[in-house]
Amino acid sequence: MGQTALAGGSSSTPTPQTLYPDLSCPEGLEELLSAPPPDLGAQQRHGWNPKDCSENIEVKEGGLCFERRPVAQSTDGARGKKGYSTGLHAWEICWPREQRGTHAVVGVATALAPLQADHYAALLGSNSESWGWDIGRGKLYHQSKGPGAPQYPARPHGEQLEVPERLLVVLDMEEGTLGYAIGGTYLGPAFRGLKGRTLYPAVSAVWGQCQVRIRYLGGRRAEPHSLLHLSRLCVRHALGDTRLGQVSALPLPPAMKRYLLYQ
Amino acid sequence: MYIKLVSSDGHEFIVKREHALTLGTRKAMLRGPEIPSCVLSKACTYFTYKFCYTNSSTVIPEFPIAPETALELLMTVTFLDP
Repeated sequence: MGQTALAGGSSSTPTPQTLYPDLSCPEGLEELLSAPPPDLGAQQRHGWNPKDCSENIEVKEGGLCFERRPVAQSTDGARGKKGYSTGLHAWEICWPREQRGTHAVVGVATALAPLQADHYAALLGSNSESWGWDIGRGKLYHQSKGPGAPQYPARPHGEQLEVPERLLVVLDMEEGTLGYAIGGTYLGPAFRGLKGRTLYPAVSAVWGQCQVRIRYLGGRRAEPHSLLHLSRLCVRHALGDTRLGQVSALPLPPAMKRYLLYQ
Repeated sequence: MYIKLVSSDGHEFIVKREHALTLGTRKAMLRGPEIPSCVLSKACTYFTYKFCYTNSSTVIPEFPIAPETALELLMTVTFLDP
């Protein structure tokens, strides 16, 4: 990590964020994912809400899956039955790659976000009530119509990650972050500043007859951070994003320097 | 009910046993490194914070740490249970 920047020969300078990416996996995520998954009933209780989706969407299997009817020039979304305002939550979205079309966005929304639009768009994230990751383009949307949207995960040379059929959505309402994980790897926080809201799992879709599944993986109540982690947050905050490289100059053992950089 | 932790500069901190009752802390008390009082006092405050807000439904407040203390904590706190 960071070797490409130091080796030279690259024409663009990686941003501090890509040199020392903040892969701060929400505390408790590993525990949450290694615990026994919720049973079918719980998955359905946290599944898609048939009463809270576009009229072009049909929710099936008690909430585990929805299918979008092939209505032309319409973008359609769905919200989960349960909204989250505290704790750590994770759910798996299964969205076959050939069913994504031009705009497939995965994320969260408040109860107020619109779930239907009369044109093809990245609906989720286009307003102040929703946050989404365009899993086709790799861009993050919040109050955004597309242009200028940041890439996620941030890569030094802008290369894009291919998002497989299954991805994890990780919502940490204690830290106020939304992030995603692929193949067991957490990609880092995508959005921050979410505290104080009630957020529902949400997606928006344009592909006719696409089937999008949701599988709630569990929630974890907030616990106090460890003293080590609190100290890490404090030092990182004092250094700021631009000076994280100076961690190597701190009077700490190498293992602690790596800990500070989430390595 | 209470245990006494003594810093390297001779300050004595008396804390509830059940708050500080982690394996790491007990090991540290027996033969751990000398911990300066600025760090030990923060650690003792943390014991109460952690005890108070674990498995509690109340909103967890921020735990304030001064940057200079944070560095010292990183160096010594590995000896206390996270």
